[in-house]
Amino acid sequence: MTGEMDVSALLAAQCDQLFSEMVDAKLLGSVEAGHAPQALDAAVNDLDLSFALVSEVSGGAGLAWSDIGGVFEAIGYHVAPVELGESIIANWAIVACGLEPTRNVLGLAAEMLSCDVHGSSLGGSCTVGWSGTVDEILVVARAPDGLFLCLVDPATGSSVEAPNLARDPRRRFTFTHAEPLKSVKWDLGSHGLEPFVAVLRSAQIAGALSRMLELSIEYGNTRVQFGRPIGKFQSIQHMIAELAGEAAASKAAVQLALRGLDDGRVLEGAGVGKVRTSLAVGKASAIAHAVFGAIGVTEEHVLHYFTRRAWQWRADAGDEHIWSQRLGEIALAQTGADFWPRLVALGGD
Amino acid sequence: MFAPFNFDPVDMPTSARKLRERVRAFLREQEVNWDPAQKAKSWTGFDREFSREVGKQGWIGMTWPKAYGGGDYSMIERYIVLEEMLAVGAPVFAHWIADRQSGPLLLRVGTEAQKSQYLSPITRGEYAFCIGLSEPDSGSDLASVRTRAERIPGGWRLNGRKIWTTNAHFCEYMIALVRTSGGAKDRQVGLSQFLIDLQSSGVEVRPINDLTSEAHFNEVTFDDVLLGEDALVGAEGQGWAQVNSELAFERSGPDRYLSLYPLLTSLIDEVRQSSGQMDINQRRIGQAFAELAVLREMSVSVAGQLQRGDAPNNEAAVMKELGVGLEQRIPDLVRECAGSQPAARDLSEMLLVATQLAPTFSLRGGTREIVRGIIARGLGLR
Repeated sequence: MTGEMDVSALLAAQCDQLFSEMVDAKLLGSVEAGHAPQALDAAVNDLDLSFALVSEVSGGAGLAWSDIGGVFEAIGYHVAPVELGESIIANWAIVACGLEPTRNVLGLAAEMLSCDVHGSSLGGSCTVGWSGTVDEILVVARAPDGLFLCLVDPATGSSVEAPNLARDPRRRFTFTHAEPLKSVKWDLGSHGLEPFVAVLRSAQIAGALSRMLELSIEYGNTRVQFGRPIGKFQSIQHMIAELAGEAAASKAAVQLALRGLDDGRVLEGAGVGKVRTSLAVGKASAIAHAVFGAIGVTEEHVLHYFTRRAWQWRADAGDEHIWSQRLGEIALAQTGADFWPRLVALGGD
Repeated sequence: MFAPFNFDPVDMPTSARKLRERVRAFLREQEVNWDPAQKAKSWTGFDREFSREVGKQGWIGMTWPKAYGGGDYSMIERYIVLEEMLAVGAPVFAHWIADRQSGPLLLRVGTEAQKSQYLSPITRGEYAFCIGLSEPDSGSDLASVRTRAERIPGGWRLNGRKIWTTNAHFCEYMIALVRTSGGAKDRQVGLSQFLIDLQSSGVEVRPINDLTSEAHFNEVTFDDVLLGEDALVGAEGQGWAQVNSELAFERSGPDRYLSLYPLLTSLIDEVRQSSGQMDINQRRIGQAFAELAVLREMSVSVAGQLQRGDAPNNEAAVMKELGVGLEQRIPDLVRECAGSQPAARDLSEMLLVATQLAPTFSLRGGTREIVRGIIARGLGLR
């Protein structure tokens, strides 16, 4: 246990340090204007974390989801414009489904497409992160004979820019009878890749909320009105205390969700993580903006890089309403007496 | 990365499942005795016979040393018993406060004689404790308490009054925070804790009816009550610090988010039978599942930290603030999904009680406003 904790903290600290040095408002502005962050991408590559969840026999580090949560959170805490999280999930999925590991750049689609038997003739639309070049798109598709993980050549589909609140480079692809490069049976849950991306986004939200909290405390202690720092006013203290609660709950939700993925409770784990963190986004960002007042909504101020991304991440991979409904469906499929044992089993019984 | 709180995960001990099964089996037998209104009262429900039965199982004072009637269990094993009790709305109050606070306090700062005298009967469910903090003129401003114990030869003379003391009219003992030196201007300095036999001459317990038309709390008056030397708990003048050392125990438990849990059990059965608005019901109940799961993660984490001997007071404050927020929303959740007058009789009876009890959830154990102030101070804002 102690050993695992060390790995997890160590990886998070590595990412934290790298992003502290390289990610700032200037870089974020430039990425949002359409320039790929080449130096950052190269530095992230050097961390060699993309194969963190890939088993050791296949050349990875063989880590658990719980070990990598700190990395996901660091991405959110610094709103780092990287596809590292997506890349970690994509490489894990490929190897977990029995395909050869690849060093190609993979684009990850959380949404499920449809296809014909054995994963042929792909159809439907999905959004893919599009920083730099993507060699292949990884997507799960539903066929009459089950779910398939498909590697798809982006050139076999048409695509348009997909504007989003984060101003991340994303493209929306549409495939019509496209033949995947490879298809292999997907046995990792009924909702394809979406729960895993949902947990990544949950962790990013938790990180971003921690930062919003930190910024709000700092501002509360320095901004002076009526002759004293606004953080001396009870109304501001209580607002920030509420924000702190949402940030703390988000971190705990992510911890629970990652453990859910490790324990094979994918749907419930991801659902709890995504619902709780997405719920937190609304309250937390409203409070942060209230604390900062007008300066906080200017382009010049850094706050919007966090709040806009949190709003986008809340919407990605199923928002709190969609996931609440899924959790509710599961709950209402059984009696009231079954609700408690399930709740306990998810967290650890 | 900025991380002002610690809610690190806890590995459930291997003994957990077996213990949990035993508790569930025990509760299935006991549960038949409780009506819906009783279940909705949850941990403020007082049933001495039930507490004696719990004591026979060895589930009171579980973490205490065997020499004092305890079971040498871990905080996590204790947590399992507690949460299973609350999940079915068991009437646990007759042992709850002593198990949660008074016993652990005596173990930490009590004399050998106090431990020998009180702890074993507590574990048998025989001694019920209440907490004397608020006074008519001291609510959230606890340091302004005026009840005073004066030194006299061989002991102390106590005068003053405590108010809003939950279930004092059923309890044998109170541990009260009172002034032993100085005056109001000395604030936290000069306060001490005393263990008071509520049967003593000069103690008057007056139940106060609340909005439910029942008496759940009391005014307790001390009129020249004579206390022995052995009534002082811990060190004279250390009352404030000692009270603060109880806070993590008081604020972080499952009783800070499960007080109305039994309503959810009935609500699910009710909406499963109804035909309307399934989407909304799924969303609301799914969201409750997510919130409860996260609160449990946080609450169990604090139990793990208490087990290690840490003092996670700020974490406990965060946990309480979020937990009581959820508890207080449960009556509205029920109304939205099952209607304001649910067809199922048990649910409708529970809703009646729950709606009236819910306002107190963010008062007891420190008001929401005080707790938010504590969180803010922990964040460096004061």
